[in-house]
Amino acid sequence: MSQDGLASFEPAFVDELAVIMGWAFDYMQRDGEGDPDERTWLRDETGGSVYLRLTTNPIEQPGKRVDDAFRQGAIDGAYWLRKPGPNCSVVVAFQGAVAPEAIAAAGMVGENRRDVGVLAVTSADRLNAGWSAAQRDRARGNTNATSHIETLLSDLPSSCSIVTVIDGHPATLSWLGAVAGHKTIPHGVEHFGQTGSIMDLYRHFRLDRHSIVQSINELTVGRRTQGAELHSLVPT
Amino acid sequence: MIRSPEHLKTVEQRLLWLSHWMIHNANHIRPKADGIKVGGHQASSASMVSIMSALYFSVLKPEDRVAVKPHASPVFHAMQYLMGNMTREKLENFRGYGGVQSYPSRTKDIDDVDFSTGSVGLGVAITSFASLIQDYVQAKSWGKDIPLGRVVSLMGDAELDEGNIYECLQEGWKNDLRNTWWIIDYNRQSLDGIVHEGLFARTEKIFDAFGWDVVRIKYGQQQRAAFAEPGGEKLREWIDACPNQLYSALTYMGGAVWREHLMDDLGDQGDVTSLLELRTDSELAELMENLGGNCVQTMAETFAAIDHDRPVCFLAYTIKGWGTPIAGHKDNHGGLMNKSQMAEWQAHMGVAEGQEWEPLATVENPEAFKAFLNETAFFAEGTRRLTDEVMAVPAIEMASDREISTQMGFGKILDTLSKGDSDLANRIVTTSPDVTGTTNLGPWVNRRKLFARTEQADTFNDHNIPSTAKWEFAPEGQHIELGIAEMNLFLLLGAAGLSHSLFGKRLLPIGTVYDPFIARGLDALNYACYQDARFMIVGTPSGVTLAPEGGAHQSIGTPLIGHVSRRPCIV
Repeated sequence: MSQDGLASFEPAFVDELAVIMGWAFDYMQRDGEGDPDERTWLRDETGGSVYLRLTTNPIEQPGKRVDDAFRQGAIDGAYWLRKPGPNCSVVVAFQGAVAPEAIAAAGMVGENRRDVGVLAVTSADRLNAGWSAAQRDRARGNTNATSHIETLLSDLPSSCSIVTVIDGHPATLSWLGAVAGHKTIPHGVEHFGQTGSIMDLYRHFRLDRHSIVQSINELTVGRRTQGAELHSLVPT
Repeated sequence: MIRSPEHLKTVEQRLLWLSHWMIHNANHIRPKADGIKVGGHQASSASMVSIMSALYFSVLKPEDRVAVKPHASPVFHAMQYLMGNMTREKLENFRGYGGVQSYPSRTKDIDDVDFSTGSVGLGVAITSFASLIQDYVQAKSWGKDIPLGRVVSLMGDAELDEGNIYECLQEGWKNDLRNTWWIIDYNRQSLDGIVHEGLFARTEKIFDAFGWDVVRIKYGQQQRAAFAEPGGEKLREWIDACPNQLYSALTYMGGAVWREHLMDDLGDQGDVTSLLELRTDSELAELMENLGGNCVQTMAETFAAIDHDRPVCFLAYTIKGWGTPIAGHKDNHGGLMNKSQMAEWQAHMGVAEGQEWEPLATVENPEAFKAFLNETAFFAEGTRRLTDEVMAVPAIEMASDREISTQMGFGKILDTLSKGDSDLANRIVTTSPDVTGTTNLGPWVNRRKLFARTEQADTFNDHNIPSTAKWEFAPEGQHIELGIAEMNLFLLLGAAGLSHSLFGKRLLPIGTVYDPFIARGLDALNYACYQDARFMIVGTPSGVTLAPEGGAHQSIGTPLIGHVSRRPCIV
């Protein structure tokens, strides 16, 4: 995020990775003008280099997807893995390998809260760049300028909270709440890690599903989900 | 054979004047916008004019590529202005908005900069990787027609303090580096003062150990002539023994002080006395300042004498601020001639008022000089920004019903590409700093082999020792294995990512590295991006998800790459 000339991606699933790599091989060869893309407000015609942040953790995959909408979203930076409904009070947004925890947490919360959304972020970098570019152009008088993340979040009720999860510094995603004015609760890693199992460390850094549910219980308005506190207390 | 020494001397004097005037104009004439100095490096430019005049106007060919040291930016742009490739408007706006950049920039300057420079040492190191990429391309069936050029770095001696210089020397040796010239402006002064005495005697041994030819250019033509006179040998001995600080100080103080000091040291020896007395004060100063690197003819002859393609390190002795009133002063790095010094120097240079920007001012025979410029081989084919066609991207599909990691998926995608015969796959070059296997590049490397200019078999394979990794080296190989040095990784990606522009053959470079160690190469990553090099960097594994490896190998900040901590704005 923020290295000029480098588009950063952190896909969670291998079908996203395939789409991103296919796009990247073309993007690396582009040499066009700096006009913004109308969907994302990114200067994609100019091309550039690409950074992929990957992991060795084998995680459950979505399988062959019936809906191809994820393809464009994976390139643009995010897509709704589960679309939020009209009464959505909480969205779980994740980037990368923590996907199973974020998805599981949303499932647990979904038993008590209606319309919970799950946002799969593949590139906070591209979302952020488009958001800045669109605002800049609107400030200059171009009322049509809109970025991808603004489009994605435009239908969320203003009372909705966003919980973000990433195996990395939480500032990567914590700005999402500023896009359309939503309370945001970032989960991520701020201190040096240590040895352990993946779940040990996810619990330690509060990246696990129960910690996410705990944050939703304690910090957002709405019905509580039972069991989160208990799970957090289970010794490893 | 060198080209006309008289014309080369004229080029040198034109570059000296124009580069200094450009800096003077920006600092002393153009209206000041802010309360800070504009800057520019007159003394570091002056020490380079003879070297650059000889190199560009007598030696280089259009296929040669050059990284010009950051502080010599005004000399480079003055040269392109002389050749009609740069506008006066941009020179007048040196370091201003939309003007000539402080340090040569591929993306922002308009005049055919081969490599951006600015972060000390990186502009040097990238030349060795660019040469390696040139060899890589030329070894391929689709690249064998490219002409092999020299890749040249014009570097300051203080750049030798940067560790990435030594990292790339080692990598160059492993890869049979050739066609690389590093020309060191050995002015023995760094930003804050004088470079340590005798340091280069040690550095020379390092170059020698890695198979480089080291060529010292210590004396200019006038000095060599004087050494042949009676007493000359004693003068040479005195020069050889003179400490850097003293030589610089005497240079700054000028001819009369030179004479006094030399007479004190050597004057009681009859033949030396007469050698000195044959010269006026200003002639004596000129003689003493006629070091090899400040003599355009000597430099041209030295370059022309190289008859092999092994890497060469030229150690060109120079005087920082050569030919100007601030020559030799230890504070001259960022120092500028003041207005009265410039007025005096302008008269000395014979540039008439109002003619300051005139490219051919002071040239006695403009027609002959123009003909000389027009016949310069390096500029004969115009600017040298090449390009190549776009390689179509084959369908890349990957879906799984089973649990799988993104790193495993990456390996499988490359494996699939390696089995196909797409043009795109033929242009992919992978590289990794000793983590090829652990970042899942193995299947790709097994099929597409490692690059080396000469075939090398895999001994384990030949002896039927079972292993998942086949390490066969061949000219057609598509993986460049690096030692575990991340600066080298990003410099190589930067060079490979400019292949379409430098060599006219597009590459799609992919580098893999453990995600936390991206931070070890961040400056080179930024440098590659600043030049608009095109590559894919795969940081894997990442995060605390790499649980058993512990805190030393778990990346936290990489999703924010490029973010810098906030600086205080109120002290």
